Amino acid sequence: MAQLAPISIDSLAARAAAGERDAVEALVARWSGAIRRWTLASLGDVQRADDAAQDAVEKLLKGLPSYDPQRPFEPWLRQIVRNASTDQHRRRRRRKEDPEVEMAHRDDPGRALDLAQGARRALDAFGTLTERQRSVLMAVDHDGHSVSEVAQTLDIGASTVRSVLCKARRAVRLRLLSEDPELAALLEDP
Amino acid sequence: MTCADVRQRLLQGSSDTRAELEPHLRTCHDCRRLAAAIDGIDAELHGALDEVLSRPLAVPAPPARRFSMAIPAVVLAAAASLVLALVPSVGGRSMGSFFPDFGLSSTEVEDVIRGAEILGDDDLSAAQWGDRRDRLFGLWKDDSVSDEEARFRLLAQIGRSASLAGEIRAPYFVQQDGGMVNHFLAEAAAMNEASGGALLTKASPQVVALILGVDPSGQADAEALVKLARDNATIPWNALSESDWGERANQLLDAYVLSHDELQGEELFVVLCQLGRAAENANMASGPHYQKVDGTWVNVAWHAAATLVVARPALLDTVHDSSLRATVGFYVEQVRSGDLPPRNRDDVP
Repeated sequence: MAQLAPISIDSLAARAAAGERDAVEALVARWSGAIRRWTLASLGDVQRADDAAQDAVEKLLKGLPSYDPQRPFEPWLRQIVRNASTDQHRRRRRRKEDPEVEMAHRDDPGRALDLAQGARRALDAFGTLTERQRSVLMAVDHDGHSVSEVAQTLDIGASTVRSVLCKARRAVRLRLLSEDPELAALLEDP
Repeated sequence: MTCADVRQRLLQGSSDTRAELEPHLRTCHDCRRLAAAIDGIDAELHGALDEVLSRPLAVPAPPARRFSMAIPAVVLAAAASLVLALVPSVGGRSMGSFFPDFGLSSTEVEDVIRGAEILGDDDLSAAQWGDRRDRLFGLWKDDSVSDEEARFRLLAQIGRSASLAGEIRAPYFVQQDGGMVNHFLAEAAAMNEASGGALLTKASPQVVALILGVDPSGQADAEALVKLARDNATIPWNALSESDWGERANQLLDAYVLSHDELQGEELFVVLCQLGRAAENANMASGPHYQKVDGTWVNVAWHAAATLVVARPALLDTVHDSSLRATVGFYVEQVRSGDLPPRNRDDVP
């Protein structure tokens, strides 16, 4: 999903492209939230999204010398992030073909993000959504954008956004409520 | 409002809709308990997202490169000329031994290839594409690119850059059957053929059409279009990003516009089905792939495919993807029932 509140960044990107280390760091700092949103929406899995976001930063740094400051920065960065996310998809697919490698990858303590158990459960539920559901849920319920803003950004109808949003909330909540038998029973037998 | 109604609304509503439910919640302990649990879940997710999204990303130190890709193109071109004088075959990979080992790591090789793949055709001038082509050619001659997929993608990007550089010359183009052929795209196509088409799924969208022989400038032929569509059918929906699906949809549409007149029956049907699928996977819920009919957005390619099925029902049996068959089948029912008017193949887009 596109950045909903684009930051005017071109001069900073131009300085970074020219090799100014301070500008590079400032550029990454200003876009890290967006990079993380894009990878998390795309991949769902927090750990893989983190890997993809870090890969994207490395690719950004290597690609900066070829960045043309006359062109808008955000689409260029989005493509880099998209490629990093696609690479993660591919790597996961390859790992899935080899269960032992997948297991070792999953159990690697060096990869584990330090998250509280509740946060981890909530993010696991969030990861079960579709890419569009994740994008919309993050944009509306987390970032506070209105349905019409999101509809405009995604170039879809507001009713579609509302529908996606309702399904996303329902899926996350149902999944987490189902972990508590008493609450789950309330939904089955009101 | 019953408890069942309230609980369903709690499940999918926001805090804005909560006010409407307050009178019931004040009087129903169980529903109030459920509402509190949902508030807790929302807060948990909000906090978790806050924590994850606000983490800074590390900025690695600039890599110490043993070989700078900024070596002037003229140096690489001179080196290329030397190789050409010594080795006539590009595809044989024997020329690598004539060059120094630049020592690029596999990660650096990946970055160079990826750097070319992320560029749009219009991102560089012809002269810049020429420079890019020469750099990539320099990398090709370095035998460190041993991975088959990387070699294929590199060949494809050299061929693409050579086409965009607009300079028909050796070693990038070779004489064949009285005309000049893009040697690197031909090599990539041969590699893809040898892999049974598997490598093409690794190619960036811009080069897929080139490798399959669909010339976006207008020389597309129907055979290549069908090949492009059949290739599309082998790609799982989640193997590409929405943007990449979008590029595929536009590519298919461009080729369709140019050559659909030459297609009939099953070939036309498979192209329409795959065009619709690419647009759907791209989430392109607007024109030109979607149009409003009586206030409802329809996938125009699927709509036209369904119209073909109404005239010849056996076509639907040729779709092996059950999800695609069900979706096109849904459109078929709508055309049959008159909810949608028939759509002629010329009305796509």
